[in-house]
Amino acid sequence: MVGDPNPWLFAIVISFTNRTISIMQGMMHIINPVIGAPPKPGPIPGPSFPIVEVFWFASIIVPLLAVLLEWIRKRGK
Amino acid sequence: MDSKTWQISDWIKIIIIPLIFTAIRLLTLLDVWLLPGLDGGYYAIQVENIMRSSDIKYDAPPIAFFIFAFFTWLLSSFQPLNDAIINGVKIGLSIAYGLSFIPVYVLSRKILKNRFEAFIVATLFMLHPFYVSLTTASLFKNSVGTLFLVIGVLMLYNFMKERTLKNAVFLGITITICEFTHILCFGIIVLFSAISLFFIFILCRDRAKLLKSFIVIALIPALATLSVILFKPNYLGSYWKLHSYVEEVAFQISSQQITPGPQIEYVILLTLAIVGASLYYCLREFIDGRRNFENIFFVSATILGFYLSYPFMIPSWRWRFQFMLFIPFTLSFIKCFKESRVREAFLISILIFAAFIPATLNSFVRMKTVIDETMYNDLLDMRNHIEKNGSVIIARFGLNYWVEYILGVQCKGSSKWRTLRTTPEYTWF
Repeated sequence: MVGDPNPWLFAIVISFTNRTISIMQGMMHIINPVIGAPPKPGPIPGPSFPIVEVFWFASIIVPLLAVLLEWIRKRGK
Repeated sequence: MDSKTWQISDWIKIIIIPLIFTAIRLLTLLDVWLLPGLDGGYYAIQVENIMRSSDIKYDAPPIAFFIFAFFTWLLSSFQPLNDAIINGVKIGLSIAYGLSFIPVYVLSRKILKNRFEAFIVATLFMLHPFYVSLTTASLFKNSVGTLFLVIGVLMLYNFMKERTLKNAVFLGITITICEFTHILCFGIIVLFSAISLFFIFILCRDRAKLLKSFIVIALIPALATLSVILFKPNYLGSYWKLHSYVEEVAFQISSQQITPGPQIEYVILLTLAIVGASLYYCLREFIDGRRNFENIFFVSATILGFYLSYPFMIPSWRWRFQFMLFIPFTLSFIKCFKESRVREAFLISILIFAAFIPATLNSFVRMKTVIDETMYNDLLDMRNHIEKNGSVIIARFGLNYWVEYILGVQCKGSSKWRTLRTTPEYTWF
């Protein structure tokens, strides 16, 4: 449905596409000891981009904007 | 599937599932030598002191220690005291963990009116990596406090739904129990209640009646605090942290620099996504004119979520707050579940479950103590060479509590190896 923002979609798209590679690397550091594989040498890859900070603001602003757009659309009808 | 009335399958769920979670937690804990985490020995000392003198050694909110001591007392008929203490702590932790399923299930069941959806929400809560990690990171008081915290959230919901004196008293009592279990759990329930009740007060018509209920809610913990200050001030031992928190936040002083790794980061991102989605649903209801108590409850949960995940918090407090994100996550998830189609929500649950499972498994498996069997036996041998009353042992950070527990001497902890100093009055370790 065009114009009907779906917060679930918002949640999935941002969580699972942004920095997927870095997150998967992090997950391998967790999975390796569980499955008995030797841990990868070197430090756990750290965040290179302030993703939590950006995401924190996004998770407030995006719902606000979505509701605002919906409100404007309803008033226009 | 949809049913407002409680049926036998509900009762089976709140009896069988907590037993299963308790068993899983206990089995993983029994697999660990002594108690896991840097501060494992701290709990052993506190419980041992309760068993010997009916009081805690280090000043702290005592309820979790007394729960551990109760199970230690039960076991002490069958085991030597040292074994009973270790196993008593493990049993107390596991039972508190298992029982926390019940209030979350009851709350979800009340809101969603569907036992299968409530089961999914409560299971995701139990498997949230941060909740499981509380035990791994030796935050045992925090883990026990979470049980009372989720009961408090349920009581808050009940009070917002029916603003009766009975519900106000129950909420006040639960806040008091949180206060004497763990400072962070207490802070969260107070903050959550304050935000929710503030909004209720603004939107309510009968404010005089509501004000009386607020007084009842506040009076119970206030009276308990006063009597504790008068008779057992050591039970408020952790509350110096409040001063430290205000000071550090006000002046932006940080004693630690902790950067979350990606394995923590992705759980935070996922939690923020759910909290953001919940915010969207809440705001949409507000602009539609549906300003009921339930919406206020969920708006407060999202505010709590944004506060706990605030990324510019000084690092020494940030990681502790972020560890409690499973509370707003669960509440926001209930809201999202309620507002979306069942099939869609079910699919998302599976995805979240899949995302959580590596970190959750890691938290279950990674548990280990800072002291192995050889070191333990070395310390036992040292007992004969160290004077009980004349020596203070300075130990490596994380070992000091075990040294104190095993040798029975006063022990000063050190945050770093290099801080060890040579002075004649200290015995070295």
